[in-house]
Amino acid sequence: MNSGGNPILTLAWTFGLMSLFAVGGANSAIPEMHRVAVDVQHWLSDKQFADVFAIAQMSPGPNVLIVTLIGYSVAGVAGALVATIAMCVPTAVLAYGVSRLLTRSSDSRWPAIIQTAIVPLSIGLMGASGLILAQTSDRTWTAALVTAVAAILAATTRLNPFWLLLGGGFAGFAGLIG
Amino acid sequence: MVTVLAALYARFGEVEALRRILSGVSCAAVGLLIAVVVRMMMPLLKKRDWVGLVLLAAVFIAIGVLRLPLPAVLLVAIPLSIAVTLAMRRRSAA
Repeated sequence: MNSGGNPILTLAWTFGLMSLFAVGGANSAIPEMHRVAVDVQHWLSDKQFADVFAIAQMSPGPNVLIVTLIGYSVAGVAGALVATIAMCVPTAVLAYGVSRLLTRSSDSRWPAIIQTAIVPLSIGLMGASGLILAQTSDRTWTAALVTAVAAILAATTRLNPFWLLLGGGFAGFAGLIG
Repeated sequence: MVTVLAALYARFGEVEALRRILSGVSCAAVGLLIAVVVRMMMPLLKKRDWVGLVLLAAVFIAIGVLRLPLPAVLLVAIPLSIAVTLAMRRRSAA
């Protein structure tokens, strides 16, 4: 992982490895993405990281899109392709292998045990993602308020998340976020 | 679609209004993520699954607060969690 090397190779290696540890989806890997992209490799600033997260959430499609955006900002279209493939292929192969193994084994308790064991870890990872993103995005108290209101509305109502993102966008446009 | 957005961002990321809109959207997006975490935690809280909640908190602190590398944390946490889950099942079965 030397930052002086070919950025495409670094992208492939970083996200290929990360995908194997993204228990619970791309949103669980956000702390690791932030650590590598901002703190270790200096690909993005804190602010840019918050921006690519926002773009990935706004866009239709899976959350893994944030990886595409990081790849793009490091090495253009090639970087976007390599990062996305690196994030999807190893984990798909692993999932396939594990599911083959589980269906073949005569002991049918294992899938349930592994799932029970993984769920709390995955929630903890997503909570850590929330914390780190809140630290990068919520730099003023009005920004923190927008986050709090969105969280409460999303947790207690069935409102389409799109409206909350749109509301956040309006608040930002009106200059409330600072 | 996203590549187009990314290209737009690369070109207009510095434009003031877009920057303001994006910061608002990211605040709301963080709120959505927090809401998902709360919803996922509810079953654990209802079951009073203390073991799960402790593991959850440990991962949260290790990654979110201490900023430890993800592979290192999971290489400890996954085997530990599986071992604890197995032990709890044995105990409730016995």
